[in-house]
Amino acid sequence: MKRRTFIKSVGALGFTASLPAMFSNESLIKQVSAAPALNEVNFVAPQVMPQVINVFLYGGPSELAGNLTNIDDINGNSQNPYPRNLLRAATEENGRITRNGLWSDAGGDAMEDMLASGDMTIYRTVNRRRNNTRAHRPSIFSCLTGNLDIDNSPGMGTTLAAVLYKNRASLNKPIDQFVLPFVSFEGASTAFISDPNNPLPLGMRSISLDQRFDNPYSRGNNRFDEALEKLAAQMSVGADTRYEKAFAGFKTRRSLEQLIDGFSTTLNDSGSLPVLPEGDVDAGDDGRLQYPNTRYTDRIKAAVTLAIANPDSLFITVGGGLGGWDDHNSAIEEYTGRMQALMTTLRAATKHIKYGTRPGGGSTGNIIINVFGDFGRNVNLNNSMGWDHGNNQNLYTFGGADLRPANALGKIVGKTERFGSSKQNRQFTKPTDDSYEFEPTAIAATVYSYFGVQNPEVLTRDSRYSLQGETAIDETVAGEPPMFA
Amino acid sequence: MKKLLLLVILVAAVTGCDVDVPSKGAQAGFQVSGFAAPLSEQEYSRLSDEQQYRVANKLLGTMYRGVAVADFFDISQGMDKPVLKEGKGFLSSVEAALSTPLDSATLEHYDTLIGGDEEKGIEARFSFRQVPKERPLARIYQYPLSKDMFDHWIAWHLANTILFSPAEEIDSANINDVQKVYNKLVEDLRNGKTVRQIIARHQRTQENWRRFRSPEDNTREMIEIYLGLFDRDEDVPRASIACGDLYLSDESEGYELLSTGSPNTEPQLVLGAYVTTCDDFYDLIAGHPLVIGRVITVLVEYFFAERSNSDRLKIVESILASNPVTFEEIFKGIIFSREYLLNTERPKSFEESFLGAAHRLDWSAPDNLFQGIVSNRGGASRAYMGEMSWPTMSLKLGRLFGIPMDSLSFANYHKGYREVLLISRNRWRKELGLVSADEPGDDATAEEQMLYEKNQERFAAVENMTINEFIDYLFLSAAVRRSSAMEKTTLTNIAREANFVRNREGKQVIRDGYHDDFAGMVFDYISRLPESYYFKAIN
Repeated sequence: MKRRTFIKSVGALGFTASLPAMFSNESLIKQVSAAPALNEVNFVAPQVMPQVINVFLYGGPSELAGNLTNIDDINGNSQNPYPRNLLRAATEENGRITRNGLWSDAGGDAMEDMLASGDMTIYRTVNRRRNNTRAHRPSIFSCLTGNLDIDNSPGMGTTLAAVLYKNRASLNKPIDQFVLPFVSFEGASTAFISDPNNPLPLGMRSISLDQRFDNPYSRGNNRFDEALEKLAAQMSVGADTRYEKAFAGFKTRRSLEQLIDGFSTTLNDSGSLPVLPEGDVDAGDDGRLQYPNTRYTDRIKAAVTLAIANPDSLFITVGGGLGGWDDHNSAIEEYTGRMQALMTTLRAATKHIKYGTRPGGGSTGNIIINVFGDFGRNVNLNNSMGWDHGNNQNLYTFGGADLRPANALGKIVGKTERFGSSKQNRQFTKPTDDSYEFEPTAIAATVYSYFGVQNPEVLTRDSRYSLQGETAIDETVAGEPPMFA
Repeated sequence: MKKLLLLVILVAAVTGCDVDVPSKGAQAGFQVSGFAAPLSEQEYSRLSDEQQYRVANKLLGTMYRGVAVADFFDISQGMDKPVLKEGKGFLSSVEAALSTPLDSATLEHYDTLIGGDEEKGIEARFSFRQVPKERPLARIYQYPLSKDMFDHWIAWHLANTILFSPAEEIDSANINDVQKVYNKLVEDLRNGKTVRQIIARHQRTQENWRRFRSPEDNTREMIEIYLGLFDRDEDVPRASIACGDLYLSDESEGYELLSTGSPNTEPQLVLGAYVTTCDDFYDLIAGHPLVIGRVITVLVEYFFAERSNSDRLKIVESILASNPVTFEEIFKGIIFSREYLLNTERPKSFEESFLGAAHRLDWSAPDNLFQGIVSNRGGASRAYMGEMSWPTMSLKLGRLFGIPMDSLSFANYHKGYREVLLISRNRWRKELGLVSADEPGDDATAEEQMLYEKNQERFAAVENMTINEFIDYLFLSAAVRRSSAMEKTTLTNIAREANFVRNREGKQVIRDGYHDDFAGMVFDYISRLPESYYFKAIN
């Protein structure tokens, strides 16, 4: 199925006699060209199997929480002024700019903590230059499929599953023994769009879980449950193709019925949270980690709990229900609290990972959290006191010390400048000429590389916008000096 | 943000704009031809009785309705060869009903039935927590097949798509926006407004601005949503200049759509035409040649989600070629099409599944049903659609084109369907005629008396059924098909083991008083079949 091709084509081409020919030719060509990419992957099984938690901020968050380095210039040219305290260093009276140019009460203080502890890096120049539509749909789809040919690309989780399945012989563990390898905490996720040309075995497809590990998979038995199940199975011959989705749902239900109760117990047992070093700001009275009470806590804590408890969960998506980041109006008042809540939750999550212990032992340094969104926003405060769509955003990446090169964590990479006509709406930041930058699809390329793909560009290229594809992020690039000494 | 604040709420000022096609309602004799042509009565009548029942329930189920086995067939002589009650002219009678408004007295009767009337001492059939989101579904469920019911169903559908979602999930929108968007859609449909007129009106509303909240956001989304153009970034800044005098106040000022009082005066080139004001821009969108095709496409994407690209394209083209001007025409074009009724197989939405089956079982709905389904409150909250990734009029970009069938959504779907409806035997056993109904008292209304007689008639028929006939009766009711030989054998064995079976004149029948117990087991089984969650193709 090429559903989005259809939408786009019908919408864009109008309704003329030429439409069917243009539509079918294009999709046929792409269908054929998409399949061989997997065969071109150069795969070397990783020494340490990564676990990636992909937190996607739908709507497109502003970069400003992580980048106030241009705020004077931005404010001087904005149609509407920024709050005065946002123009002052945190060391000055009521100022908001931290040492590294972060927005202190929009999560900046929490980020400073994580940078100092070496648990985080900020990339400030995730800059969409290729197919820069600034529209939600193509931006979300390209970020979460890792490809600009959004109409013909599976989700990045699906691609990852396909790579691992194809190269299963190289892995240290039989692929069919992985439990919950691909998990969504956001229901149906773009990151798990399936590939009709390359269907995966059920065990390699995504499973969506509830953030409280509520168990809708359970079913009150009746005394003839076994006989009814057996009959249903006998009568479902052929249903795996004809009623594929419901068939898969029932099969998954059976396998999850018991499993989820186990995770639920772990999640709800506060004694399973790690004891933190004395005096840690995130420690509760009992010295154990205490997550802040924010709108993000349930999902992020659930994802981290699952990752720690189950090393087989390789790629976990978290999104939806995380508050819209599409701040077209009243931006500052809404965005500040939201970022603060997100980053304090993530600070707790990094400590959960760092100090947490797995049931069977083993390092948690293979767990990475990536946080990004559709795109960035412009930096002009419009007349609704909001920010419209932009193309430069931050990647906030956490943990994963066992997988990354030395010095990959604890820094801020990328330098920006404002551009656009003064007092006009379309003002943005962009990387300076001497700055490192990468496309949003490079984030998918980097995830693939953690899992052993040596040439992720073959999975991120397309025939129109990115002919060469994207390489993984260069995590050895040096960080920027602090904004204030 | 100190601008010249000319506090003009624009909603009232800009309504009533006509866009090229005058309001005339659905066109008399409108019919789609070609690939999406309607299923003819002749072809329908050539189907087997069972297939006719399936098609009838596919058509009605799509509108969250259904017809009970005992209303479709005469079952008084058993289930081996039941005679059709409905048959000839079924499709055209449904089509005619959907075109016929209820008279005001009937409408009032049903609204009173649904919401009660304290002054008249009439108890409400349903209780609500969030009236704007729950009552529409109650009306669709309770109204007779009619234009009023059809208008509500269309409005429900539209307000859950990207086309008109009130986006209650976002900070600047609230439940009142849901009510306004929905009620205005119903009003427009009732008054026969065209697609273009409805879009022209809706774009200008505060509700639309609470969803898309700045000139750039609003104009970009109008281009994307109503024209399907996702690559016109260069048009957006120019369009936003035309709408630059409009803005949404902040939370403390109530998110009101306001104007600076200084509309743009410089013509802007947008999508190949010059517009000066936001009114011009909205008219450009509503009058654009792509609008009707885009709307059809969005709807076809839902109803034919599982069909191939080329089939969907042919369906869109076919409906478009018939020049529909109203939503009523487009929806009818889709759901009465041969392609839909005979050749399309797709997962059902929860409303389609649950409410369709509720009608087929003549299920006695709890008064808080819609609180549960829509708002996650009360005893029916196990059927809350939000847990199925299918929330009501909430998502900024509307519900997905396809029904969410990921593991979690489907687990909740199955659980809600099974537990709230299929195994809640107290709510269907009388209605299906599995137990004798209570005789109405002397003060019973004519309606109650009629209902009693209907139930007793069914009871008499069911009592006489052999176990195989009874299993078929249950299967047709819940699964819209007869049972297979293997199912009959296995389920009969289970019934025997449970001591539900006795012998009557050499035939196996269910023991008196156990029909509902056995039916609960059969329905539990049916809830476990993947096919139960799909509208099936006939061909």
